[in-house]
Amino acid sequence: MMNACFSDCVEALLAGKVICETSEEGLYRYLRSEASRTEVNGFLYRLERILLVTNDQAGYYCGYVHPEQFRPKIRRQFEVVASEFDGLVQWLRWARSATNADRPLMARDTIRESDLLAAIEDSPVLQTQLLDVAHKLKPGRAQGDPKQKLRAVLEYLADNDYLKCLSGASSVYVATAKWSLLYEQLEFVRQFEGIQQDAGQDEGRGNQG
Amino acid sequence: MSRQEEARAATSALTRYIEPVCEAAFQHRGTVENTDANLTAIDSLLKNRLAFRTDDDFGVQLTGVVMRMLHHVTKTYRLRLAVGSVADMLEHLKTDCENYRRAQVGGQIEDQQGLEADIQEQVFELVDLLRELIQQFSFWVHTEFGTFSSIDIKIAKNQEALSKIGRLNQLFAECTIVELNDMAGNDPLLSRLLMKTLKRTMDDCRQELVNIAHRLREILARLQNDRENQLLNHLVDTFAQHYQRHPGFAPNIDLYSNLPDSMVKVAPLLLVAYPNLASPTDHDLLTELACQAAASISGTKPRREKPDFVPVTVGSDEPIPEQVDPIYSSVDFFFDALLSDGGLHALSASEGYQQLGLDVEFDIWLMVLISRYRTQDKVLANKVELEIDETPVANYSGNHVVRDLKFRKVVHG
Repeated sequence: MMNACFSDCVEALLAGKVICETSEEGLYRYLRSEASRTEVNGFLYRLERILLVTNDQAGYYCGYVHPEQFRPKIRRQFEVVASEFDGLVQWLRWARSATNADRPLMARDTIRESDLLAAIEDSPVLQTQLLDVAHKLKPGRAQGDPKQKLRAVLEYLADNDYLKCLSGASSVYVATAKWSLLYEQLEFVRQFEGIQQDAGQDEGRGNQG
Repeated sequence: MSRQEEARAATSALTRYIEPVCEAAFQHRGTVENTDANLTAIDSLLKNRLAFRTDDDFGVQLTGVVMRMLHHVTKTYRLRLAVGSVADMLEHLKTDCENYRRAQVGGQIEDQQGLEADIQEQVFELVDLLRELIQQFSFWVHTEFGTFSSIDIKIAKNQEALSKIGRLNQLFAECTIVELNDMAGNDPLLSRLLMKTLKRTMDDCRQELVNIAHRLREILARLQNDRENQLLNHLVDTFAQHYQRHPGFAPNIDLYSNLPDSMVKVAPLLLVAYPNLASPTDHDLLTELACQAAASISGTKPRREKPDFVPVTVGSDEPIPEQVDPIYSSVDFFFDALLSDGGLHALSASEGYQQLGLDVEFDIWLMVLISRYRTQDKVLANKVELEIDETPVANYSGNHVVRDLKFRKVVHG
């Protein structure tokens, strides 16, 4: 059983997946153990890779030990992720508004398609914003009503491991730790590029607590 | 109105409305809220120039003089909030207890009486101080640091309070019942003060501090969560705004140095192997694999060779005579010529070949003849003798070149 966990873990990590409680509960529990992490890390290290964890400890993923030697690969990876930044950020804002949340989506948060549908039915503004989100996330560009657009966006996020569908019928999704990784990447880019928010923009959000 | 009357009126106003004034000074940064209950207080404070109106209608602001005075008179209280003063007082109490016992042993009654009064006062001061501290912590728990608007300051204040509680608990842990018993000795007064009054207060405080620390940690966790949420909201909104202004913004990783962990995630590593397609030794295996792969891609099984079908016509029940090869007929004729009555006495293969005019090579004819002779050995051996005209092949031991076969009828005596 442990050997199976080890091999599954290594396989998933080398495939570039983020292992979290939502995406792979068994493997995540396996990696919570210090001994398991040491074992996995020992193997990965021989391949010049290393086991990493997100800042919120929600997800494990694999990184290069010597990033400078793999710069072209890292660049290609990043270009794919960065091309989605705009769409993903718009989705996060949209989902925050639609669910009346006081913060953006985080790992282990649950999203119900029915709740989102109820929200867009009541709000033409959310419908318009959803079209923008769907347009920016490529699979949502196809023709269709807001309901179809929403389904396309949710499926796109599930296909890209940002969400995990709990049940096909009721369409309940749970956020994975890939969001945690995205926030860390966004924060680094923000700091490095010196991206600042205008004073007064959205002031006070998050102070509710 | 004389100067004295003005002073009296102002002091009187402060005394009368000390509660809303203190609330404003300590909890609302000097603002007396514009509520119905505060209307008369505001009027009186304004009249005595102890407060002034601001631009908004939220309330009135206490003057700096009042704020400074309140801070001044509560200075001792705030100073004593420092946990260090509790430790100092305990240390001082410990020294005085020793001096008291020494004066008692030495019979110095006056010193003893003086120290007795001091010790009593110190114990009651200490008890008061501990109760005030608890009240202060309770105040923070109750208001959840509501007097500050910044989450960062709230968190810092919370951590500071937890740190103080930690030091107090450590102090209580060090001040054990054995320690207090040593300080009291056999003196009934000290025993009553230290072992009952002080010890009971310390126990109550310890219990209270456990609850307060628990609540403060809960508040701290919530504040940290709020701060995290605030940062996330800020991050997402900042990027949304940036993309609005710069729609084609594409960060270039080549410009970034010191990549953090989040930026060095691996590209998927495919665990595959590729065969050497040029290897002649694996040719058959590779061909088979290629056929299977092609079949799996096309979704069909490899096509089998279509057999050559021979058209069959269903005829009548008459037997179809089998065509006999002419060479076998010639063999039959050859041996019939020897075996038939009145037949030839001897006949060689070359003679038969010429007579029959066969359309096969002579070698083949020799092979067919000898093959028939060997297979029918039991029948022919008694009737026909065979002589092989052959020559050994030089350098190839055991090999012979057969030039002819000569058959001769056996004449039985």
